[in-house]
Amino acid sequence: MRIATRLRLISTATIAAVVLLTPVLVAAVLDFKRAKADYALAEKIHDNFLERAAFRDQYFLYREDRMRQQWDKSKEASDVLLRQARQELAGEQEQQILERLGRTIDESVVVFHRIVDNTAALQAANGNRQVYAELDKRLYSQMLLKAMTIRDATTTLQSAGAQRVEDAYRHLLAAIGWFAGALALATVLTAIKIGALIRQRLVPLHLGAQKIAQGELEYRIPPGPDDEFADLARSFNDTADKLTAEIGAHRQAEEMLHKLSIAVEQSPAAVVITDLDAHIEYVNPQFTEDTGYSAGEILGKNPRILQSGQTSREVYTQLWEALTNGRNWHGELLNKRKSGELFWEEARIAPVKDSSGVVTHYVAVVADATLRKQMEEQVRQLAFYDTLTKLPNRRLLHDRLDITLAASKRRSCFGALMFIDLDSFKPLNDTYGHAVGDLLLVEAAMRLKSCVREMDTVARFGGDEFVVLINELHGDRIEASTQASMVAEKVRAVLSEPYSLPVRTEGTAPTRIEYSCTASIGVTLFIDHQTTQDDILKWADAAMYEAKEAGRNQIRFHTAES
Amino acid sequence: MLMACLGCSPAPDQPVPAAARQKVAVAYTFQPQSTLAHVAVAKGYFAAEGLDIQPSLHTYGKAALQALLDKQADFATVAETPVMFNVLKGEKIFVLANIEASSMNNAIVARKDAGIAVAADLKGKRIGFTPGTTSDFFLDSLLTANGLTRQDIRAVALKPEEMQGAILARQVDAVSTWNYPLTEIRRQLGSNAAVFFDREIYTETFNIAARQEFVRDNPETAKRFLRALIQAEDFVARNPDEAQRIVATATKVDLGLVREVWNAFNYHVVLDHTLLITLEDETRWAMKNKLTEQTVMPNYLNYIYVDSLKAIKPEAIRMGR
Repeated sequence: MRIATRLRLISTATIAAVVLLTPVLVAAVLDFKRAKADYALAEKIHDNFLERAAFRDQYFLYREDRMRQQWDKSKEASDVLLRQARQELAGEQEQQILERLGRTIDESVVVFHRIVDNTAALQAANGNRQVYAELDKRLYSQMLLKAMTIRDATTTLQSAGAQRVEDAYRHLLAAIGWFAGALALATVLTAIKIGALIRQRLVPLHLGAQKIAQGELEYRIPPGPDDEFADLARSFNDTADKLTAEIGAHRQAEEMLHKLSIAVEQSPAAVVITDLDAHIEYVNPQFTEDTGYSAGEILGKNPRILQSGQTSREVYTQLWEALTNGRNWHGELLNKRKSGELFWEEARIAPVKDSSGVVTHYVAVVADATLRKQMEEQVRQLAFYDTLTKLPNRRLLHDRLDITLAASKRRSCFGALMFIDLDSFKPLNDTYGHAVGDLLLVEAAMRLKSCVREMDTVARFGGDEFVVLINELHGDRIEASTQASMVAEKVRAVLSEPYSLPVRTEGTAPTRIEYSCTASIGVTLFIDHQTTQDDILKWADAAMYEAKEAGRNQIRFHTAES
Repeated sequence: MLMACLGCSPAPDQPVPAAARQKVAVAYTFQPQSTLAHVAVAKGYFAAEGLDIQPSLHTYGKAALQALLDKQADFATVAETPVMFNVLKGEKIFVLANIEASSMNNAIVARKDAGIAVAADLKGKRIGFTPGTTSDFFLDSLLTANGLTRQDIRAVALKPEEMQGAILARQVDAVSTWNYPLTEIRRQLGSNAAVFFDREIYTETFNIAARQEFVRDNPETAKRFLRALIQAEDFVARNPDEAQRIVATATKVDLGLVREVWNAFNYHVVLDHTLLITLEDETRWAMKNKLTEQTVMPNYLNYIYVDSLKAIKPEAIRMGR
């Protein structure tokens, strides 16, 4: 049976007992009240007798009529009280006493009135006064006998009344006792029942739960009879089932975690785990290797300790924007090792979410990209720069020219391109070899770079040909032409300066030679992307040939006519 | 007949074997006042209390008391008047209990043809009485109540059993007597009888008396004796018809006569003031009329022994409340 049903039954039984016992209790209370009222009536009857006894004695002392009258009135009161008592006192014993009492009182009336009558004879008598006096005494004796009987009856009535009060009180106490006893019994039975339930049902449940809690996950609590405890036992068993499954899964996860942990520990990439405030909680050995910071030094610190200040602020803005929105971030950072050395990092940072989807940590997997960056730079150098002079090659020149054309259009200003060809480079090459020629080319490149601004470009176009690209000239053609002309002149002058070149001839000591090598320069202006790169280069090249033809070491501007 | 009745009486609960019973001699009377004693004997209540009753039946209590004083009996049933006279004579007796009280047992029965119609007519008449008994005291009380004295009449001393013959033979004009003679004489005189009761002037008591020495030596016997009488009292109250038959059988008195006088008596085993007051009234009367040489009122409390009754039925003690 369900415990709730059992408790309902016990409650119902208790209420029924209370309902059944309540009338008994009420009856006992009423009986007690009645007994008290009866006793009060018996007391009144006794008091009435005492009152009449006082009048009787007064009469014997003084023989005055007032006492007789009061004695008679007292007798009338006695009749009223006895009538009331006969109606109200129910006991057989009381009725018998009342009968005896009434009879004796009536007899006493006769005796009293004979005394009264004899008093008149006594007072009037002459010769036989002694006889009346003797009669008076005899009657008084009889009166006393009646009085004794009456007193005895009233006292017995009182005692009976007191006994009834006592009995009723005892019954009342018994009823209260039963009442309290029934309640106590119900309480005790309930307690015993609950005790038994605890002993028989809860304790095995508790012991079973304890076993499970202590790790005996294969233990299952016997459910027993179908009640709430059985429900609870089944719940415990279900929990144990789930716990067993979860622990299995957890063990697998732990093993996996262990593997992953080893993988992380052994990872060639640095791994960093931070909390949401970016305090470092974990770094793997590779991190220490990459940065120079040991785990002891770095734990609890902020990764910004690694910042070099050379990574753009935008990168960090994007990084945090992605992470705070729960997205991964991938990018490169230029950081600083503990030694101060800069290094490139390719970082993948991911927010770690708990089971409810709340971000709790960040994990960063960082690879040192310095080497890769260096290789990329080398490739870039090879692709866009001349290996000898380190000047942009023709491909990069095209890029720069694109940029310059775009800027020209954007800003409505002229740009200028100078095509430069060294006038007497070939003889040097032929005479002293390519190595000396190369030295001249390197020197010429340096001189060219000294003539232009940082924003301008000097490129090696091929052989002994160079191109100078000048940005942001004036928007007016004449002004721009003047500006370009000035630069061209400066270039021409610088390049025409003699070159001091070291010469090494086999079998002789190294010497230096002075060598003059002028340049012919063709210049063309362009604006607003009106022309193509090829046109611009072609025009400059054509202008340069004009300069060659004009006697070398000359500057010629491309004109629309030329 | 009485013995036969004893023999056929129903056995009480757990009767004491006859051999183990204590022999107790009891002197009691044929009178109605001894009803409880007759019933206790007949119902075996004494036997049940371990008492082997040796009965001696007497015409009246004075004779029964004399048997006690003569040590022919251990207990006697007797009215208060013989007790009073014997106490005044210095006899060491105890009254253990009152077993009967009545205001209607004594009367003067007179012959109308002797010129007696009302009590006042008794003046100058020959009135028979039994000296030293309630008959003696009642005669005096009735005369007093009617303004007469002993000197106004001619008192004739008679034994109770002589009363009936004396009045029928006109040797006396009236007799002061008790039942059964009272009723029998009245019946025999028929319409010629004038009967003078006075229930307001005298209450007779009938009592259990014993020698003081016996009571002191046999306190348990006294209790057992009273206990048997209390059982008889209960029986009489609940079974009056059977009690009447028992009395009629035991006393060889006509059952009709027994029934006729039955209501004049109250059978209760008690000790109350009635006995004490009546004893003192009668003592004053006796001393006044020179019926005794004593002139000092004895303390009757020394002759009323309450301990036995108190031990077995305390509520029956109605003295000194």
